Amino acid sequence: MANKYSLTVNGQKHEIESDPDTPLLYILRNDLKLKGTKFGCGGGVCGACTVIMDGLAIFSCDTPIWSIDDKKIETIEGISQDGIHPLQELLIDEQAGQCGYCLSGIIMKVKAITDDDPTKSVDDIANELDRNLCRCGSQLRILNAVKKYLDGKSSR
Amino acid sequence: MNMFPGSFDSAPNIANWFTINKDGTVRMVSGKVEIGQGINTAFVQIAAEELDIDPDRIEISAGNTKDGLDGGCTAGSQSMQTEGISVRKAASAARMLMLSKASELLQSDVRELNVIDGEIYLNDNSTNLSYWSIAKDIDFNQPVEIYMQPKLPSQRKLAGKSIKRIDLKNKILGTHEFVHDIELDGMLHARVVRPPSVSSRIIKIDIDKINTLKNLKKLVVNGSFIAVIAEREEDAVKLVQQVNKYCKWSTPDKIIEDPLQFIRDTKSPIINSLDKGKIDVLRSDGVSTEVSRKFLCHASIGPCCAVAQWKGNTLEVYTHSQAVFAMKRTLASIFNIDESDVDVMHKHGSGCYGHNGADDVVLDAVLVAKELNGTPVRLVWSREDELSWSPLAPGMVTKIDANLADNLMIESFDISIKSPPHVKRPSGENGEYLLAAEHMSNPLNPPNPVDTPLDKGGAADRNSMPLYDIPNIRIQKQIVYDLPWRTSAMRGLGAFVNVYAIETLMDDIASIQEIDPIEFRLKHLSDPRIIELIERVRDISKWTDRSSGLPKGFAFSRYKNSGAYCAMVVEINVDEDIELINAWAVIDAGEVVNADGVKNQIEGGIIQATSCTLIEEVNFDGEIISATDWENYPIIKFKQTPQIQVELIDRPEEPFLGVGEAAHGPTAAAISNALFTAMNIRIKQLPITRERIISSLNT
Repeated sequence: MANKYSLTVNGQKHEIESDPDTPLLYILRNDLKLKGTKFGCGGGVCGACTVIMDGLAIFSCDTPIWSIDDKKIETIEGISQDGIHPLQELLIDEQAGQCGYCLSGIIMKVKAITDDDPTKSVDDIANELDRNLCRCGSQLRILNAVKKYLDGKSSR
Repeated sequence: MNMFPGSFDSAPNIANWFTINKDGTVRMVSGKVEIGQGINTAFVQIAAEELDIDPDRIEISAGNTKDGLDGGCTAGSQSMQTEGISVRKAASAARMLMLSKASELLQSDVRELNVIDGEIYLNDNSTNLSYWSIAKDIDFNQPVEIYMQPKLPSQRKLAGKSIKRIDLKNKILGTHEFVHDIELDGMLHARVVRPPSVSSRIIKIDIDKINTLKNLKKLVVNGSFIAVIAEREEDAVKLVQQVNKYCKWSTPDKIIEDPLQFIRDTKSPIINSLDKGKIDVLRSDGVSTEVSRKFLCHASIGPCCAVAQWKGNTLEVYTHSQAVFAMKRTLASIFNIDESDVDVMHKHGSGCYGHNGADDVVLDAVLVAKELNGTPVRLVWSREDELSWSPLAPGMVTKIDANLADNLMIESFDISIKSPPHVKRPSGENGEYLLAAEHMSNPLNPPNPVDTPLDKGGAADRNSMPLYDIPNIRIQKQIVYDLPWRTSAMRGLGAFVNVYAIETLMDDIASIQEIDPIEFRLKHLSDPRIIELIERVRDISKWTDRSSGLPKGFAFSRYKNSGAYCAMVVEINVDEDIELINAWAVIDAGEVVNADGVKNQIEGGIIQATSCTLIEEVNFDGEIISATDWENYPIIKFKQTPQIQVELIDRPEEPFLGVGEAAHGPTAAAISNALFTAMNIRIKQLPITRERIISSLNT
């Protein structure tokens, strides 16, 4: 049964009509056409679908729409609205990626962690990326970019 | 060497490759597709070099059958060695053709002209001519062969520089359109309803009950190929399980308890890959090894996806297939239509490292779209489909018996390889090897694929030929066709296990002789290129200073014996689990186009190979593949990331050598050799897990 839900995505308010158990991922990708967030596993294990809800990184693939009514969602498209996010700049500098499919989820996860606690070390973050997988083997470059991002944060 | 490898058959003329636009941009066509390896960036860099333009001016169209340039399959680390050379020739020809025109207009000699970012100069003075102003008056339908004049190595300016990947920025911004992101007007969503295992077929399906299911737009039943179509994607996902409750599938009649033992016991005919010199039986002072690897998954992070649309009898497909022309021919043959009525267009997918389900999902989508009278459909595999229905990398067994001469040098290697097929790509003859082709109501029964002969790079026997100076070598392979599971190419093919066998055996023999393993190898090497490579990695890893610090291991191979050379030293930590801490790799890839691109491939290769070496294995429950999600097919995690130092030996005068698969075998062997150094145990079955180490200590 379709219900009405209200959510704010990247600062913009949307009224969505949907079954309550529809995963947020499909609302973002197919209704709001925000395709930067990816499907990977559907079970919250690989992290490709990570978005930020009220400051917290969540897996949009197994988060039903009913649970996020009236919440604020931030996606990869949202973090570069005012120019490229510094973490993205550093990832580009480091050429941190191969196929790039996992990147938006990893970026959102790292942003959520570091926005919450800027004192985290790169090792802390590597541990917290336990449920963000990369198959191409870009982990080293991604962590190098994260390290520079943390250094930049602490020197500001 | 072939002057015009591959792509020139379908693209002999400059116009097939380049369109010079008056707005200062260049459209370039590529037959090789981007699969995360950065190939299209390297091609742009080669073309920009020859054309003397800024790389940013070039827009690349890759893997689109509408362009007509058939680059074959993007596989085997061949793209630079084949099409890279073609791009260089075609770009140089475009430049020369335009300079010929300019010399006419300026009444000068071509040798007096030069180009800076498309502007044409006469004796270093600017003219009013540029590529952009004169191109419209030039017929580019001229043979590349007549005009090509690639720069000499000394004239190159961009070569070896690290330009940024042309596609990566948008991928980091989240704005790149992957095949999964395509949206066509009125597009519907489909998913496949899978049988419980590979040989199961449908016995009974309750279509009436299924048709009452909510949100089902249409059910597709074609033999045992069953799919659901819905307007909303999440409904298609939900319907799969609901529909499967109304399906009864046959159970397999043959159960294979131990697939690796089945491979070991094969009675398949012996194929002689190489017979050099004389082979004696293993003598009492000989050294023998038998190594094996269990089946692996490709394990792409994004499941396979295709978008298909029939318009009457014509068909359009968007795919991340590595072989769009083979797919075009295959589809035309399955649906009995003209090849000219099929167009297959490559869009980037999630990284794949060989032949995953990218081709299979195309036929799935096309079969579904066939039921939809012109409405486009997007079909995405589930996580379970991706892991357990993509072709697996075959399990494999390699045995080597080594005899030693009186002077303790290796006298002979007798090598035996047993493996299911490594290459089952559809080539176009019939619908061979596509998953749905086995399930359709008129299933196709393709012949067993021929394992690529060693002199063409080999498949099961890839890299089984040691590059050490060994006077007598016999290589025999047996291809195991009677296992039920679908297997096909994964990064390195047989090289992963064969390099593991050779390089761990070299350490075993060196250990018996109490010689430094690198020293032992150098005694068996005369190729100065290999010696320089190995000495370099020995230096940068401080190999000789091994008395303190973490245990180190070394390995070397040259991919396919014709691609890039890779020598590697690793340091591991042995605690509860084995962890790769440091890796040093020295790479000789001939002429380097994009240094950072090469390094990225090697770093990624080392990390992925570490995952394959220490973690990954497919287990089976009868015929059912147990790898269905990331919990039961785990791969390497961020916290297991090693530090890696890659050094390149750039040889601008030498041909390009493919690097994509160079690191795999050496990584596995170097890790094993480090463990051998640390604990004096040799793990012969990959992956090297904690359980196998413990059981090895107990025996």
